[in-house]
Amino acid sequence: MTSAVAIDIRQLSFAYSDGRNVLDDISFHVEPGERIALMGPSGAGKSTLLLHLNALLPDPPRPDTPDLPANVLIDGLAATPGNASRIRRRVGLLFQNPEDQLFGSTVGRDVAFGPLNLGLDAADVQARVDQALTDVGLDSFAHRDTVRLSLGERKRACLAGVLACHPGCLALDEPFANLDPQGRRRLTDILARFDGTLVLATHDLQVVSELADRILILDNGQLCADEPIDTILGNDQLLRQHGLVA
Amino acid sequence: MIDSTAYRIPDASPASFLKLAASLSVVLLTCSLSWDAWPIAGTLLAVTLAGLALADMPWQTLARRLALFLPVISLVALSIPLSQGFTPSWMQVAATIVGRGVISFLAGLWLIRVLPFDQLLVTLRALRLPAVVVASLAMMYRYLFVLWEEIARLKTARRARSLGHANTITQWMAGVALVGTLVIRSLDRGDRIHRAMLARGWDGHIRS
Repeated sequence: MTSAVAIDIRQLSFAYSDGRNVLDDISFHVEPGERIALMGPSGAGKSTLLLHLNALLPDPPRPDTPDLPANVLIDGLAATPGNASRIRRRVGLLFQNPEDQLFGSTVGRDVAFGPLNLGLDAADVQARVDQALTDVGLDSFAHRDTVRLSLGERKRACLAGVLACHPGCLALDEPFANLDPQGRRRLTDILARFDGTLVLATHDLQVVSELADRILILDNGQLCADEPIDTILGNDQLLRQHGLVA
Repeated sequence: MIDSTAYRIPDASPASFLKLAASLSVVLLTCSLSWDAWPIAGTLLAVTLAGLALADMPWQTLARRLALFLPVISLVALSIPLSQGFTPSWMQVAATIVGRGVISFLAGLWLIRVLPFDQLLVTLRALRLPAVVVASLAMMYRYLFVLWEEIARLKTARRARSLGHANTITQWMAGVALVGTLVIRSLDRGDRIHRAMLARGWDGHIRS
């Protein structure tokens, strides 16, 4: 695995081309190996923020220093197109919908997609595919057709595809959505074993309490809270205010 | 222990080449025949039907596929006299187009029946078809199922809200809206898939 990754977000604001302002002056820092949960209601900007961590969205200029475009720094690297390849080696992004990420015809081929793009030789690719499938408990699924998997299996296959790239940071977008209790348990255990930096966007307070050290609450594109997990989970009013409890 | 060839695409077998060559030969030969050579066209049709029978193609399935294809090829055939005028030989031209289309379609069905799509891709790759074309075909095949599921979900949702009162015009309007929704969703999905590929190091080059 690449060593755990540090993340620095400085005054990040972002609007899509249709004018929707999705992120508004977000700043925070994540230490290498830290495990944070991004929480907030739907449409708060969590997914957009995760896309920034993988240099998948243009990095807009900073409001105070327009000549300095480094709003997103991954291990000190600005998330610019020139650094995209190096950043994507460090940060593995798991998308919300497995159908968007599972494009190989078989599970083995899909998991091999990342390692092949890293330019590894055949033996290394095979070793990584084997290891990643074992890590997610799909070691007998290598030849299985990707269209014939349950949702839980698809999510784990997607995670194997990300883990096979040996990222130092996992950025996960709603990984537990629509999973049954057993599927959630399995995925939680896999993520608990990951020893890099973890950025988890979720609504699931129970999972967050198991996996995260710190919670960031995003609401309407703004960072509303950034506190250790106990502080946030103990603040019922805050949770209620941002729609995290009914 | 995981099979050590888990991610590798297997080599194309000689049988795969033969099946692809046979199917393409029928298509090319059919398309090169003139109206006068109808006995050869008839022979090719008989050979193709025999191939389908040997491949255990259920006749009901074959009839359903043809029922979908015939209106399309008939419209294509009709477009010639409609655009160039109803000359004395227009029926001959139209019949030639339908005949060529049907035999080629049946040859394609036979190929799909006897050569799994995965093997077809491997064979095309071995024949040095550009990797990007093969990858596009593979993605198309993969997402055909996703699209199909999406259509089924949209249709179910439409039925659930139509409450059995929809007349033909309403159904047609809903069908058009469904196609529009599907196109927009497919474009969005394409965008998300591209991002997911970039996230795993895709740089526009196919590697295997």
